[in-house]
Amino acid sequence: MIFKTRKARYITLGNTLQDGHEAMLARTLLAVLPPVKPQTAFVTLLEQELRQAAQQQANATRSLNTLANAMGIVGGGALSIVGGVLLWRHWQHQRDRKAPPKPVLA
Amino acid sequence: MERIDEKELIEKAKHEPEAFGDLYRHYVERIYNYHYRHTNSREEAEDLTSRTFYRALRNLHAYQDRGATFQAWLFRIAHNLLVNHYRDSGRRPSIALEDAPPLSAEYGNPERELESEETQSQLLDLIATLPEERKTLVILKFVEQMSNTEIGIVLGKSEGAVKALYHRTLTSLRAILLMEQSNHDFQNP
Repeated sequence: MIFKTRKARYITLGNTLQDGHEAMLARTLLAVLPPVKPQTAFVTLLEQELRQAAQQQANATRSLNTLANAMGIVGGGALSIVGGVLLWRHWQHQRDRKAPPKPVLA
Repeated sequence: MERIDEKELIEKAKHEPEAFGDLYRHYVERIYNYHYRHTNSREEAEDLTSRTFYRALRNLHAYQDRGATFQAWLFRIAHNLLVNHYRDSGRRPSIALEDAPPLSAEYGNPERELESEETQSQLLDLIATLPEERKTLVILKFVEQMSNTEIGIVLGKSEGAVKALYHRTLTSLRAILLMEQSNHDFQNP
């Protein structure tokens, strides 16, 4: 409700919104905000650039995976050799301990 | 696009550039529109759209569908870039709607008022001057037709906070419109 006088204007305050008003406001907002489309040239160019970037990213990921695989193979091989040597040394050590002492002089 | 198809497409796009191109085509107009509605400039909207998709491409491997839809994830990237853009350019929408006195919802005939061309034009001007967060809310809600949960993800807020912000925004918009209407009536009785 609004009261008009010569000197002042008073407005009844409120902070609620009725359901019907909300729906109407929503419809109006939808009407005043129609979608704005980008220019076709921009869309096409960006798509090309993105596909290129995606390709480069995929290649980089593949290279990284290849490198990781190679390092895994080399590292795994090296560890296998070290493990083999250690096992052989251990086996030798065990064998020497079990062998009967040799006479010093015949 | 069906959600299940999109899920497959996203997984595919993590490894195949072609699939990312499909995702891009599906979302580019909406992301552009979102940026354009904020900046009101084709150049800035194009720049921000481009940056949004580049960032999405870089971070796509980290995206996981844990309740957050892909569109919410993508719009969150867009929103963050927009916030940075406002910050870097030192531009901010200026009107804080809390300063406007609310009017009674009983006042006037809202249907007649809102349907007039003049009011629609005023509304558009008002939206352009909304604080960034509220403008985002209006665009995501009315243009993108997103749910409150998705808007919450984009804005980094709870669903309840989004509902409250939505209500405050609509109430304030209507209050300012009615205030302008009453000023107009007062000056031209």
